[in-house]
Amino acid sequence: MKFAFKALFPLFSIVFIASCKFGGNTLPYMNIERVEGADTVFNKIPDFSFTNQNGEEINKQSLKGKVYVADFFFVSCPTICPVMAKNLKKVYERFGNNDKFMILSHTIDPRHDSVEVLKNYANRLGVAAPAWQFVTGKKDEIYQIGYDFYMATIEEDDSEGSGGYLHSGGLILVDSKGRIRGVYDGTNEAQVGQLISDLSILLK
Amino acid sequence: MIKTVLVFVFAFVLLAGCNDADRKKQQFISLGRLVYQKQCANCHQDNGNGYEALYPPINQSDYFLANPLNSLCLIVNGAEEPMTVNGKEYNLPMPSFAHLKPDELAKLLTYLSNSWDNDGSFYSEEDVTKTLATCSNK
Repeated sequence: MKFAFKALFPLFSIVFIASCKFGGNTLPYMNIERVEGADTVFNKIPDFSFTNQNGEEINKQSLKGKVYVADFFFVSCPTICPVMAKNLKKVYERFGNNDKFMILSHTIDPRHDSVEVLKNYANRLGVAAPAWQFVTGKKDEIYQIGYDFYMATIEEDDSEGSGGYLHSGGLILVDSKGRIRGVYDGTNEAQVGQLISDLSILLK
Repeated sequence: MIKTVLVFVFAFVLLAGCNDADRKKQQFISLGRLVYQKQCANCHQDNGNGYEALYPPINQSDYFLANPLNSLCLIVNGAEEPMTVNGKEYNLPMPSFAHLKPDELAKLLTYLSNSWDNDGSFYSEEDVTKTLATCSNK
């Protein structure tokens, strides 16, 4: 009996690993949950109204049917944002032609990052809407959607060399039904590689 | 045994061959690299070539090479005005790095001057302090 188990163990392992490999196409559902009466419901993206680098309104409707990557940044950020932008540009170069794909970059410094500033930044980075939307808006609304829906960390911070803000370098992957399917470190090349392969699954 | 002794003698001769100035310069380059990696490389990149039309190059940059000490005021005060580097205009603001101390700036400047294809100059803490006194404080 003991022997049989020992012999079966490697077999189990193989089946287990194989099921991971072939079942790997299912990405998790990560939205914040809350309890409503007897039900547990997923937090849905709230209504919002932001303005993109072309001065156009971006709201909940703009995201309909899109598989998108959301992030939070600011133009004069000397720390992680340039690294995130460089990595995100690889994602943009890969999927920018797919009309179901979008990157939604929210400024957390709307006082400085006006429509003109965002336009200049996008042009200089060599990217354009509609595939890559840079949005500005009311500061409270941006921060609120960051906390409540995207699970982002954003704080004002006046410590040395921070550029005025402390924030996570998270890239949040949202599917066409508004469900969060992954969070990746935008400063980590391996994780951005994972994001690219997860995007390929959702955009199939 | 003889071999070991020879290796030591050889190493000693090599080290003694470096004069103090060389050693100090090497030290500044190594320590300056750490400052660069932490404070500058996110934008200006490990290769010093900048990134896209967002961040200008420091490697073979006419702006930097014209007078590296002039870049000190820029580093310490940051910049809001557009600048032209190698014939291209850059207009993103550069944040101020006022928290860097004169010795860190001297190491950084020496590293920048000795990296990539730049000109190999050495900058002491005194050079830096003198120049910083001429920067107008914002």
